[in-house]
Amino acid sequence: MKAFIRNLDKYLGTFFLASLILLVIAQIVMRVVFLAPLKGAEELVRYFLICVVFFGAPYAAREGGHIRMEELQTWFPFWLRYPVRLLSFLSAAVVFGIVAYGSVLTLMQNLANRTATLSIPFPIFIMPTVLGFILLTVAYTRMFIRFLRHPDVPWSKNKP
Amino acid sequence: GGGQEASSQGTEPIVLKYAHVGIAGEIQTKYADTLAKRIEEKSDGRVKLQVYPNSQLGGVSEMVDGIKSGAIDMGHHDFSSLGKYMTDMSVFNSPFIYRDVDHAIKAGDPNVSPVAQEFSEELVDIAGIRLLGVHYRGARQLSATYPVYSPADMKGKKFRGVPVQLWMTMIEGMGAIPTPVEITELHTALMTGVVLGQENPLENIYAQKFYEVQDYIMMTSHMHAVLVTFINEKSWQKIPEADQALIKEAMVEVRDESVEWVAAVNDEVKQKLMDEGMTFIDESNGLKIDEFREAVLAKLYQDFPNWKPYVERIQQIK
Amino acid sequence: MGFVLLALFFILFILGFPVVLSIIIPALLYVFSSGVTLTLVTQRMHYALDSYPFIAVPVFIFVGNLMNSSGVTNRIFKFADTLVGRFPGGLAQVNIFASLIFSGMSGAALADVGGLGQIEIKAMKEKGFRGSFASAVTAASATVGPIFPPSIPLVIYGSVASVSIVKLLLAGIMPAVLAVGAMMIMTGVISVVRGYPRAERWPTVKEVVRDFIPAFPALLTPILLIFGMLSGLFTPTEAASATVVYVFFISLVIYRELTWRHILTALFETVKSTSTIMIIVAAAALFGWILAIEQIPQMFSSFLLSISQNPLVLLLILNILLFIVGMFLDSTTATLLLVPIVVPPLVGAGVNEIHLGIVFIFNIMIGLVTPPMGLSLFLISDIAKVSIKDIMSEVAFYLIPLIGTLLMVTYMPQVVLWIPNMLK
Ligand code: NA
Ligand code: NA
Repeated sequence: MKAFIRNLDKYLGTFFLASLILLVIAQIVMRVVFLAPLKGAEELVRYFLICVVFFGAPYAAREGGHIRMEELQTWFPFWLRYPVRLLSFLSAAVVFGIVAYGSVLTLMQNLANRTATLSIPFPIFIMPTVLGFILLTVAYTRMFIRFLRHPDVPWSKNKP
Repeated sequence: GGGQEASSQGTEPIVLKYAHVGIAGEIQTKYADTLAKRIEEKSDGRVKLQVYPNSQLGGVSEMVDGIKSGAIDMGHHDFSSLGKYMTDMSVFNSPFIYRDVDHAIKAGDPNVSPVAQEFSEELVDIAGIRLLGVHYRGARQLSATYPVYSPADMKGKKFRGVPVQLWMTMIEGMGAIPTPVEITELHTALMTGVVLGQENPLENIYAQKFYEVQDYIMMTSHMHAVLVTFINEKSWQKIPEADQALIKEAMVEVRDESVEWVAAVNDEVKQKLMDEGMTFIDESNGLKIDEFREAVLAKLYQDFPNWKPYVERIQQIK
Repeated sequence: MGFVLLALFFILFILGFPVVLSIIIPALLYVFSSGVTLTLVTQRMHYALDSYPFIAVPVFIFVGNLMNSSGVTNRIFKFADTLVGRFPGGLAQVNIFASLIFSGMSGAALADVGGLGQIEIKAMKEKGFRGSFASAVTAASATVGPIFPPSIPLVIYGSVASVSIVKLLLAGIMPAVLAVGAMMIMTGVISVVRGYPRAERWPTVKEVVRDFIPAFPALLTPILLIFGMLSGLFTPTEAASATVVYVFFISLVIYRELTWRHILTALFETVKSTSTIMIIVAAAALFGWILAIEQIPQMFSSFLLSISQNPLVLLLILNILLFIVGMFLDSTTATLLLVPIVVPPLVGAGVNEIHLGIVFIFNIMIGLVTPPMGLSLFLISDIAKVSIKDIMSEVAFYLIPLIGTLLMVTYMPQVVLWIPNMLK
C-alpha cells in the first residue's frame, strides 16, 4: 500500500497514457465507422498528454532520469565537485518549489475559466501541472537530503 | 518629434506588448502594425505598441491568459477566444445574424455598440480584460471537393469545424457532420479525404493553399470575421485619460481602414484562386444562401436559446 | 539581458545541472528581475504541451517499447540483417535506410527517434555495435525523416510561410535520398576501418525466404499506415495510435508472445521517456518566450541580414544562423520564431521559397543532433543509456555527410526543385 502511494504519480501517468491512446483510437472508429466524431476528443487528448508529462516528471526524477551532461563534473576534484552537486540538488528543490508556488497562484487566479471546447474548468485543466511541480519539489528535496548523507553517490543512483 | 518631446518632459513612454497569431502579409498583421504606428503618432510617442505577431508569445489560449495575468498587455483575436471567461462572448461570432459588414463591425465595437460595451464592462470585472475596438478580416466562406448549393448537399458529409461549440452547431446546422481537425493537419486531412470541406476567410483559403486540395468555393459569407482588440485592465489604467481617448480614436480609424483592405484583398485573392482552378459558386449560379441561413439560425437558437435576446439587441444596432 | 540568460544556461548545462533546471533557473531570474508575473512560468510550460502534433511522441515511444517486448522487432531485424548484413556496417546500414521508410510513420524527428530508434539501438547492441555508435547512427539518420514526406515540420513551415505544402513535401524527397546515401557511405567507411561486424557470406534465397515469412506481418505496418493515411482513414498524428492497434493485433494473434507484464512495462517506460523529453520541450518554450519578448531572435537575424543582400551570401548566413538557433530551440519554436523574420528578406533577394523551406527545415533538424540543446541527443541518450558526450563524439562523423548534403542542397536549388517542378 505504501509503495503504491509512493508511486501514485507513475500509475497516474500510465493511466493517462493508456487513456490517450484509447481515445485517439476511439476517435478514428467513431469518425470512420459510425460517422459521429467525438466533439472535443482532440482537446481531451492534449490534456491527457499534459497529464502524462507532469505526473511522469517526478517519477522520472526519482529514477534519475532527468537529462544532464555529467561529463565535466566527473573530471572535477572532490572539493569542486561537492559544492557544484550540492548547489544543483539544492537549486532543483528550491526552483521547483518556487515554480510549484507559481502554479498554485495560476490556479487561484483562474478559478472561473473554462477550456474552449469541452468547458473543462481551469482548476482541473491546470491540476496535473500544479501537482507535477509539487511532487517534483518533494522528489528533489528528498534527493537533496540523501545527497547530504551520501555526497558521492552518482546522481542516477541517488534515489530517495 | 514626439519621442523628443516626451523625453524632454522627463517621462518614459508607455510601451505596451501587443500579441497576435497573424502571420506576415495577413490583414490582421497589417492592422496591428498600422495601429501601433497610428497610436504612437497620435500620442506624440507617449504610448507605443511593441507588436509580437505570429504566435511568438503563444497560441490563442495562452495569449489570452497572458493578457489576463499581465504578462502581455494587449492582443486581438475572435470574440470566442474570450469565451473561456464569458461563454456568451461568442455571440458576436454567430453566423448569419448581421445585415452586412458595416453592421457586423459596429455591433462588435465597444466604442459604438451598447451590447459590446456591456460585455466589456462585465469582462473587466470577471477577468480584468477590457475590449478596446475591432477590425475586419473578411467573411468566412465554405470550400469543398465537390459543388455545394444547399444544406441538402452537405447531408452526412464530414466537414471540418473549428473545435468550439458554436462552430459545431453551425456545421451541423448546414447539414454536415462537424469533424474536428487541428489546423496544422487540415491541409493533409483535406487532401486524403478525412474531411471533404472546411470554412475560412478567402485570404486564409489562399494562404493555406487549400486550392491544392479543394475545387469549389461557396460564397456563403456565413460569418463575418470581426476580430476584437483587448487590453489588460491594469495596463489600460496606467494610460492617462487623454491618451486613452487618442487610442480609441486610432482604433476607430484603423477599423474602417481594415474594411477597405479586406475589399481590396478579396478581389485580388478571388482572382488568384480562380487562376489556381477553383470554381466559385454564389447566388448567381445557384447557391441557396437563404436555405443555409434558415437552417443554421434554427440550429443556433436550439443550441443557444439564451442568446436570443442578445441577437435581437444586436440586430437593432444601426 | 537575453544574452546574460543564454550565458547562464550554458554555464549551468556544462556544470552538469539537469537540462530542465538549466533552462528554468535563468528563466526565473528573468521573471524576478523584469517584474513579469510568476504565473507566466506555469502557463508557458503548460500550454507548450497543449499541442496536438506532440501526441505522436508518446504513442510512438509506446509502439517502440511494445514492439521490443513482444518480439516484433527481432523478426524485422533478423530479416533485414539476413538481407543486407553482408554490407560493410550491416545493421547500421539498415538503421539509416529504415529512417527513410519509417519517416512515413510520424513525420516528426523526435517521434522517429522514440519509436524506431529504440528498436534499432537494441538490435545493433545485440549484434555487437557500441551503444554510442548505434545511438549516433540513429540520431543522425532520424534528421532525414522530417524532410521526407509526410512531415509535420514542413506542414508548419508551409502554413507559416504561405508556401505550397504539397510542393514542399515533394521537394524534400531528393535531399533526403542524397543525405541517406551519403550517410550510408560514411557508415561503410567507419565500419571497414573499425572492423565492425558483418555477415560471413551473402545470404541464400532459401535463408531470405525463411526470415521473410515471420517478418512479413510486421513489415506490413508502414505500408498499412501509409495506405490508411492516404485513404483518409486517419490523420498523420492519429497514425501513431493506429499503429498501436496493428501491433497489438499481430502480437496477440500472429506472434502470440505479448503478456500483460510486457504491456505494463512498456507503458511505464513510455511515461518516463515521454516526461523526460517533453518537460524539456516545455522549458524550452518558456525560454523561447523570454527570448522573443527580449527580441533576441530578431536582433540576431537582422544583424546577420544587414551584412549582405546577395542571395548566395544570405543563404550561407542563413545556414549558420539556423544551425545556431537549431541548437537552442525545438524545431517548432524555431520555425515559428524565425520564418517571419528571415523568409521575407531572402525571398525578396531572389531565393525560391520552396527551396528555402527545405534548406530551413533540414538545417533546423541537423540542430536537433548538435549540442548543447539537441533534443534528439537527449532522447537517444535516455533510450540507449549512453552519455551525451559519447554520442556526440560519434555523431561528429555524421555531421560531415549531413552538412555536406545541406550545403549541396543550399547551393544547387535544382536538386530540390527537380521533383516539384514536374507537377507543372
Ligand atoms: Na535510423
Ligand atoms: Na536543438
